[in-house]
Amino acid sequence: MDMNVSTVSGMSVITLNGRFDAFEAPPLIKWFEDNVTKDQAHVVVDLGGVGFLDSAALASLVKGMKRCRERGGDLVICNLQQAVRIIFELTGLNRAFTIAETREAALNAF
Amino acid sequence: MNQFIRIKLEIPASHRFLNVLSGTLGELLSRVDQVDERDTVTYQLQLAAQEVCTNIVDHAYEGNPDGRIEIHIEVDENAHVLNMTFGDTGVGYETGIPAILTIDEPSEGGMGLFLIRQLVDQVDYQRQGDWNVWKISKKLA
Repeated sequence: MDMNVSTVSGMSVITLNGRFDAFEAPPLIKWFEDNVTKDQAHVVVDLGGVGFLDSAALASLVKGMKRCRERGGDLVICNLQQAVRIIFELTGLNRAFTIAETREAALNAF
Repeated sequence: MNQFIRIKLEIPASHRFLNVLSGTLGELLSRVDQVDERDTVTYQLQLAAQEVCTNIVDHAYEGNPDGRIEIHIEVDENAHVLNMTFGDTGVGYETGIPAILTIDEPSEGGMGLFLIRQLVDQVDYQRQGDWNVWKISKKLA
């Protein structure tokens, strides 16, 4: 999986591409641990390029969301492919996360 | 007519190589004659298989890099069913499959078995001698 991080209007935007599974989740968790602070706790995760996601990937996003919220921010997810959206719905995590249709909508969701 | 298609895989018990199983399932299902909602069913089976194997890596072998997972895939094209059996020689589940039926709040763990149950029609676990044996089954059409 490729992971690209950019900053837009002071918010971190993480773009993921490829298979997001238990092997790929640890670097993302480390990024949250190293970079989410009280001053930088607004994060968008763009999953538009992710066609496969497993429970370890979901758990890493939950971990990131909790870390952002504990520091006064939030983690917003956007651009879900249909198959991935179904997994969010099946686990009920579509209700736990703020999920936006587009990256622009995600950046405006804070 | 070739009613049964059988594939046997043995992969390292490592998160790193579980993509091999997903790839095999994807290519296999692309050549099976009758699969309703092929993309969705393929993803569901790939994810269920991923979750079983992740469970084996993390809990049966507890991260031991020498562990192996033996996987048998069988498609019955007349009955439109795919069966998968997963064997490992790691630590057993003394109480059987943990009963996780719902997810009420955002969780960082425990979603794997919940997902498996949601994605396939049947899940079974047995301890057979030194082996843990998981079986999952799903109708394809």
